Amino acid sequence: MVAIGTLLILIAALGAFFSWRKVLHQKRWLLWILVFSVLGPEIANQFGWFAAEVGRQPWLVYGLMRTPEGLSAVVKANTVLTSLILFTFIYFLLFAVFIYLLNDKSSMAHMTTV
Amino acid sequence: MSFDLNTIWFILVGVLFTGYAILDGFDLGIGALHLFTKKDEERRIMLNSVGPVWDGNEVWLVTGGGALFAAFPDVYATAFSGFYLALILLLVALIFRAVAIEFRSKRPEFWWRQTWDIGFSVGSILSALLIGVALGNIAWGVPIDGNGEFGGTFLGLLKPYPLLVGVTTVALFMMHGAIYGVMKTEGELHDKLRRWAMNSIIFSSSAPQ
Repeated sequence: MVAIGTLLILIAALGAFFSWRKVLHQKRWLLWILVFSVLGPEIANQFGWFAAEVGRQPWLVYGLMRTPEGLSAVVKANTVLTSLILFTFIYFLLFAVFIYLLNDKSSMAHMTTV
Repeated sequence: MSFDLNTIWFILVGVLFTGYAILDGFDLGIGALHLFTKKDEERRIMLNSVGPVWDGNEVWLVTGGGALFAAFPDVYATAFSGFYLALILLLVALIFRAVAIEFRSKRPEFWWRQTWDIGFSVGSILSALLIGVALGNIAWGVPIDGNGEFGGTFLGLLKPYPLLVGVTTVALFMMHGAIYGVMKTEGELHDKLRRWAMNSIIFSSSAPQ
Protein backbone atom coordinates (compact mmCIF):
# COMPACT_ATOMS: atom_id res chain seq x y z
CA MET A 1 0.00 0.00 0.00
CA VAL A 2 2.79 2.38 1.02
CA ALA A 3 4.89 1.33 -2.00
CA ILE A 4 2.00 2.02 -4.39
CA GLY A 5 1.36 5.39 -2.72
CA THR A 6 5.02 6.40 -3.01
CA LEU A 7 5.14 5.25 -6.62
CA LEU A 8 2.02 7.28 -7.44
CA ILE A 9 3.55 10.40 -5.86
CA LEU A 10 6.68 9.90 -7.99
CA ILE A 11 4.64 9.36 -11.19
CA ALA A 12 2.55 12.45 -10.41
CA ALA A 13 5.70 14.52 -9.69
CA LEU A 14 7.27 13.37 -12.96
CA GLY A 15 4.05 14.19 -14.82
CA ALA A 16 3.88 17.62 -13.20
CA PHE A 17 7.50 18.27 -14.14
CA PHE A 18 6.96 17.30 -17.80
CA SER A 19 3.73 19.27 -17.86
CA TRP A 20 5.57 22.33 -16.54
CA ARG A 21 8.20 21.87 -19.26
CA LYS A 22 5.28 21.46 -21.73
CA VAL A 23 6.60 18.13 -23.04
CA LEU A 24 4.14 15.80 -21.26
CA HIS A 25 2.22 15.05 -24.47
CA GLN A 26 5.40 13.79 -26.19
CA LYS A 27 6.20 11.30 -23.42
CA ARG A 28 4.00 8.46 -24.59
CA TRP A 29 5.56 5.97 -22.17
CA LEU A 30 4.60 8.16 -19.20
CA LEU A 31 1.09 8.68 -20.54
CA TRP A 32 0.66 4.90 -20.73
CA ILE A 33 1.92 4.55 -17.16
CA LEU A 34 -0.59 7.22 -16.13
CA VAL A 35 -3.42 5.26 -17.76
CA PHE A 36 -2.62 2.15 -15.71
CA SER A 37 -1.78 4.08 -12.54
CA VAL A 38 -5.54 4.64 -12.22
CA LEU A 39 -5.62 1.09 -10.82
CA GLY A 40 -3.03 2.02 -8.17
CA PRO A 41 -5.36 3.50 -5.53
CA GLU A 42 -7.89 0.69 -6.06
CA ILE A 43 -5.24 -1.99 -5.53
CA ALA A 44 -3.72 -0.10 -2.57
CA ASN A 45 -7.17 0.20 -1.01
CA GLN A 46 -7.88 -3.52 -1.27
CA PHE A 47 -4.37 -4.52 -0.14
CA GLY A 48 -4.77 -2.22 2.86
CA TRP A 49 -7.88 -4.15 3.88
CA PHE A 50 -6.16 -7.49 3.30
CA ALA A 51 -3.24 -6.37 5.48
CA ALA A 52 -5.56 -5.22 8.26
CA GLU A 53 -7.77 -8.32 8.20
CA VAL A 54 -5.03 -10.93 7.77
CA GLY A 55 -2.49 -9.07 9.91
CA ARG A 56 -4.64 -9.03 13.04
CA GLN A 57 -5.08 -12.83 13.06
CA PRO A 58 -5.55 -14.76 15.28
CA TRP A 59 -7.08 -11.84 17.19
CA LEU A 60 -10.50 -10.34 16.66
CA VAL A 61 -9.85 -7.69 19.33
CA TYR A 62 -6.09 -7.58 19.85
CA GLY A 63 -5.04 -9.32 23.05
CA LEU A 64 -8.64 -9.73 24.23
CA MET A 65 -10.65 -11.94 21.88
CA ARG A 66 -9.60 -14.60 19.43
CA THR A 67 -11.28 -15.02 16.04
CA PRO A 68 -12.96 -18.41 16.87
CA GLU A 69 -14.53 -16.78 19.97
CA GLY A 70 -16.22 -14.22 17.77
CA LEU A 71 -17.87 -16.86 15.60
CA SER A 72 -21.55 -16.16 15.22
CA ALA A 73 -23.73 -19.10 16.17
CA VAL A 74 -26.77 -18.08 14.16
CA VAL A 75 -25.17 -16.98 10.87
CA LYS A 76 -24.59 -20.06 8.72
CA ALA A 77 -21.48 -20.48 6.59
CA ASN A 78 -23.42 -20.46 3.31
CA THR A 79 -25.12 -17.18 4.29
CA VAL A 80 -21.70 -15.58 4.72
CA LEU A 81 -20.57 -17.10 1.43
CA THR A 82 -23.67 -15.72 -0.32
CA SER A 83 -23.00 -12.21 0.98
CA LEU A 84 -19.34 -12.50 -0.02
CA ILE A 85 -20.31 -13.53 -3.57
CA LEU A 86 -22.91 -10.75 -3.69
CA PHE A 87 -20.43 -8.05 -2.70
CA THR A 88 -17.74 -9.42 -5.03
CA PHE A 89 -20.29 -9.20 -7.85
CA ILE A 90 -21.24 -5.61 -6.87
CA TYR A 91 -17.56 -4.62 -6.68
CA PHE A 92 -16.86 -5.99 -10.17
CA LEU A 93 -20.01 -4.41 -11.58
CA LEU A 94 -19.14 -0.98 -10.15
CA PHE A 95 -15.52 -1.39 -11.25
CA ALA A 96 -16.68 -2.07 -14.82
CA VAL A 97 -18.89 1.06 -14.76
CA PHE A 98 -15.97 3.06 -13.33
CA ILE A 99 -13.61 1.94 -16.11
CA TYR A 100 -16.27 2.60 -18.76
CA LEU A 101 -16.87 6.14 -17.47
CA LEU A 102 -13.18 6.87 -17.11
CA ASN A 103 -12.50 5.74 -20.67
CA ASP A 104 -15.47 7.78 -21.84
CA LYS A 105 -14.23 10.87 -20.02
CA SER A 106 -10.68 10.63 -21.35
CA SER A 107 -11.86 10.18 -24.98
CA MET A 108 -14.03 13.30 -24.58
CA ALA A 109 -11.12 15.26 -23.10
CA HIS A 110 -9.06 14.15 -26.09
CA MET A 111 -11.64 15.57 -28.51
CA THR A 112 -11.76 18.96 -26.81
CA THR A 113 -7.99 19.49 -26.55
CA VAL A 114 -7.01 18.32 -30.05
CA MET B 1 -31.14 7.04 40.07
CA SER B 2 -27.56 6.13 39.42
CA PHE B 3 -26.04 7.83 36.43
CA ASP B 4 -23.33 5.31 35.62
CA LEU B 5 -21.33 4.72 32.45
CA ASN B 6 -23.94 2.28 31.09
CA THR B 7 -26.67 4.88 31.35
CA ILE B 8 -24.57 7.58 29.75
CA TRP B 9 -23.70 5.34 26.80
CA PHE B 10 -27.27 4.14 26.49
CA ILE B 11 -28.30 7.78 26.04
CA LEU B 12 -25.36 8.47 23.69
CA VAL B 13 -26.20 5.53 21.40
CA GLY B 14 -29.80 6.73 21.41
CA VAL B 15 -28.70 10.25 20.47
CA LEU B 16 -26.54 8.89 17.62
CA PHE B 17 -29.29 6.75 16.08
CA THR B 18 -31.87 9.53 16.55
CA GLY B 19 -29.47 12.00 14.95
CA TYR B 20 -29.06 9.58 12.07
CA ALA B 21 -32.82 9.24 11.59
CA ILE B 22 -33.29 13.02 11.62
CA LEU B 23 -30.37 13.80 9.29
CA ASP B 24 -30.32 10.90 6.84
CA GLY B 25 -34.12 10.94 7.09
CA PHE B 26 -34.47 13.96 4.87
CA ASP B 27 -32.05 12.81 2.18
CA LEU B 28 -33.58 9.31 2.12
CA GLY B 29 -36.92 11.13 1.82
CA ILE B 30 -35.69 13.20 -1.11
CA GLY B 31 -34.59 9.89 -2.67
CA ALA B 32 -38.02 8.35 -2.09
CA LEU B 33 -39.65 11.35 -3.83
CA HIS B 34 -37.08 11.41 -6.64
CA LEU B 35 -39.12 9.51 -9.25
CA PHE B 36 -42.25 11.61 -8.70
CA THR B 37 -40.93 14.25 -11.08
CA LYS B 38 -40.15 13.25 -14.67
CA LYS B 39 -38.08 16.34 -15.46
CA ASP B 40 -34.33 15.84 -15.67
CA GLU B 41 -33.59 19.32 -14.33
CA GLU B 42 -35.86 18.94 -11.30
CA ARG B 43 -34.28 15.58 -10.48
CA ARG B 44 -30.89 17.26 -10.70
CA ILE B 45 -31.99 20.02 -8.30
CA MET B 46 -33.31 17.46 -5.82
CA LEU B 47 -30.00 15.58 -5.94
CA ASN B 48 -28.08 18.82 -5.54
CA SER B 49 -30.13 19.79 -2.48
CA VAL B 50 -28.78 16.77 -0.58
CA GLY B 51 -25.48 16.51 -2.51
CA PRO B 52 -23.16 18.17 0.01
CA VAL B 53 -24.69 16.62 3.15
CA TRP B 54 -25.96 13.07 2.53
CA ASP B 55 -22.63 11.32 3.09
CA GLY B 56 -21.99 13.29 6.28
CA ASN B 57 -25.44 12.27 7.48
CA GLU B 58 -24.67 8.60 6.95
CA VAL B 59 -21.62 8.87 9.19
CA TRP B 60 -24.10 9.08 12.10
CA LEU B 61 -25.17 5.50 11.34
CA VAL B 62 -21.56 4.33 11.24
CA THR B 63 -20.80 6.16 14.50
CA GLY B 64 -23.95 4.70 16.09
CA GLY B 65 -22.89 1.19 15.05
CA GLY B 66 -19.37 1.83 16.34
CA ALA B 67 -20.65 3.16 19.66
CA LEU B 68 -22.91 0.11 20.02
CA PHE B 69 -19.91 -2.16 19.36
CA ALA B 70 -17.72 -0.37 21.91
CA ALA B 71 -20.29 0.22 24.65
CA PHE B 72 -22.64 -2.78 24.35
CA PRO B 73 -20.74 -5.54 22.49
CA ASP B 74 -23.32 -8.20 23.45
CA VAL B 75 -26.16 -6.18 21.93
CA TYR B 76 -24.02 -5.53 18.86
CA ALA B 77 -23.20 -9.24 18.51
CA THR B 78 -26.84 -10.32 18.83
CA ALA B 79 -28.18 -7.63 16.51
CA PHE B 80 -25.56 -7.92 13.76
CA SER B 81 -25.72 -11.74 13.75
CA GLY B 82 -29.48 -11.97 14.04
CA PHE B 83 -30.21 -9.26 11.49
CA TYR B 84 -27.38 -10.40 9.19
CA LEU B 85 -29.38 -10.73 5.97
CA ALA B 86 -31.38 -7.57 6.65
CA LEU B 87 -28.20 -5.56 7.25
CA ILE B 88 -26.58 -6.97 4.10
CA LEU B 89 -29.67 -5.84 2.18
CA LEU B 90 -29.47 -2.39 3.81
CA LEU B 91 -25.81 -2.16 2.82
CA VAL B 92 -26.60 -3.07 -0.81
CA ALA B 93 -29.38 -0.44 -0.87
CA LEU B 94 -27.06 2.21 0.57
CA ILE B 95 -24.28 1.31 -1.91
CA PHE B 96 -26.50 1.61 -4.99
CA ARG B 97 -28.07 4.78 -3.66
CA ALA B 98 -24.65 6.36 -3.12
CA VAL B 99 -23.10 5.44 -6.46
CA ALA B 100 -26.28 6.49 -8.28
CA ILE B 101 -25.81 10.04 -6.96
CA GLU B 102 -22.29 10.12 -8.43
CA PHE B 103 -22.85 8.21 -11.69
CA ARG B 104 -26.19 9.66 -12.81
CA SER B 105 -24.96 12.82 -14.50
CA LYS B 106 -21.93 11.25 -16.18
CA ARG B 107 -23.84 10.36 -19.34
CA PRO B 108 -26.66 12.29 -21.03
CA GLU B 109 -28.62 9.26 -22.36
CA PHE B 110 -32.13 8.79 -21.03
CA TRP B 111 -31.69 5.07 -20.23
CA TRP B 112 -28.49 5.80 -18.28
CA ARG B 113 -30.06 8.49 -16.11
CA GLN B 114 -33.28 6.54 -15.66
CA THR B 115 -31.32 3.49 -14.44
CA TRP B 116 -29.42 5.46 -11.81
CA ASP B 117 -32.50 7.48 -10.84
CA ILE B 118 -34.30 4.20 -10.13
CA GLY B 119 -31.22 3.00 -8.21
CA PHE B 120 -31.24 6.16 -6.12
CA SER B 121 -34.96 6.08 -5.40
CA VAL B 122 -35.35 2.34 -4.80
CA GLY B 123 -32.18 2.36 -2.68
CA SER B 124 -33.56 5.20 -0.57
CA ILE B 125 -37.00 3.62 -0.11
CA LEU B 126 -35.50 0.21 0.71
CA SER B 127 -33.10 1.78 3.25
CA ALA B 128 -35.92 3.67 4.98
CA LEU B 129 -38.14 0.56 4.95
CA LEU B 130 -35.43 -1.68 6.44
CA ILE B 131 -34.55 0.85 9.14
CA GLY B 132 -38.25 1.05 10.03
CA VAL B 133 -38.63 -2.74 10.05
CA ALA B 134 -35.61 -3.00 12.38
CA LEU B 135 -37.16 -0.40 14.68
CA GLY B 136 -40.51 -2.21 14.60
CA ASN B 137 -38.86 -5.50 15.52
CA ILE B 138 -37.03 -3.92 18.45
CA ALA B 139 -40.29 -2.38 19.68
CA TRP B 140 -42.21 -5.65 19.18
CA GLY B 141 -39.47 -7.85 20.63
CA VAL B 142 -37.26 -10.44 18.93
CA PRO B 143 -36.71 -14.06 20.05
CA ILE B 144 -33.41 -14.25 21.95
CA ASP B 145 -32.32 -17.31 23.99
CA GLY B 146 -30.41 -17.46 27.27
CA ASN B 147 -27.04 -17.17 25.53
CA GLY B 148 -28.09 -13.98 23.80
CA GLU B 149 -28.46 -15.73 20.46
CA PHE B 150 -31.15 -14.65 18.04
CA GLY B 151 -33.63 -17.47 17.49
CA GLY B 152 -35.68 -16.16 14.59
CA THR B 153 -35.28 -16.10 10.83
CA PHE B 154 -35.06 -13.28 8.28
CA LEU B 155 -38.64 -13.88 7.10
CA GLY B 156 -39.71 -13.97 10.74
CA LEU B 157 -38.61 -10.33 10.99
CA LEU B 158 -41.15 -9.34 8.35
CA LYS B 159 -44.20 -9.60 10.59
CA PRO B 160 -47.13 -7.22 9.92
CA TYR B 161 -46.33 -4.84 12.78
CA PRO B 162 -42.65 -4.24 11.90
CA LEU B 163 -43.62 -3.95 8.22
CA LEU B 164 -46.15 -1.26 9.15
CA VAL B 165 -43.49 0.61 11.13
CA GLY B 166 -41.31 0.26 8.01
CA VAL B 167 -43.97 1.82 5.77
CA THR B 168 -44.55 4.54 8.38
CA THR B 169 -40.81 5.28 8.38
CA VAL B 170 -40.81 5.61 4.58
CA ALA B 171 -43.82 7.96 4.83
CA LEU B 172 -42.23 9.98 7.62
CA PHE B 173 -38.94 10.35 5.72
CA MET B 174 -40.85 11.37 2.57
CA MET B 175 -42.57 14.11 4.56
CA HIS B 176 -39.26 15.12 6.14
CA GLY B 177 -37.56 15.17 2.71
CA ALA B 178 -40.38 17.13 1.08
CA ILE B 179 -40.27 19.80 3.81
CA TYR B 180 -36.49 20.00 3.44
CA GLY B 181 -36.99 20.32 -0.33
CA VAL B 182 -39.52 23.15 0.15
CA MET B 183 -36.88 24.98 2.16
CA LYS B 184 -34.18 24.44 -0.49
CA THR B 185 -36.02 25.16 -3.76
CA GLU B 186 -38.07 27.84 -5.44
CA GLY B 187 -40.48 28.21 -8.36
CA GLU B 188 -42.36 25.31 -9.92
CA LEU B 189 -40.45 22.57 -8.08
CA HIS B 190 -41.04 24.40 -4.80
CA ASP B 191 -44.81 24.30 -5.39
CA LYS B 192 -44.62 20.63 -6.34
CA LEU B 193 -42.66 19.78 -3.21
CA ARG B 194 -45.16 21.73 -1.11
CA ARG B 195 -47.94 19.52 -2.54
CA TRP B 196 -45.89 16.36 -1.92
CA ALA B 197 -45.23 17.52 1.64
CA MET B 198 -48.99 17.82 2.24
CA ASN B 199 -49.62 14.41 0.65
CA SER B 200 -46.86 12.73 2.62
CA ILE B 201 -48.17 14.26 5.86
CA ILE B 202 -51.49 12.57 5.08
CA PHE B 203 -49.63 9.38 4.09
CA SER B 204 -47.51 9.27 7.24
CA SER B 205 -50.39 10.04 9.60
CA SER B 206 -52.64 7.41 8.00
CA ALA B 207 -49.96 4.73 7.59
CA PRO B 208 -50.05 3.44 11.23
CA GLN B 209 -53.78 2.68 10.94
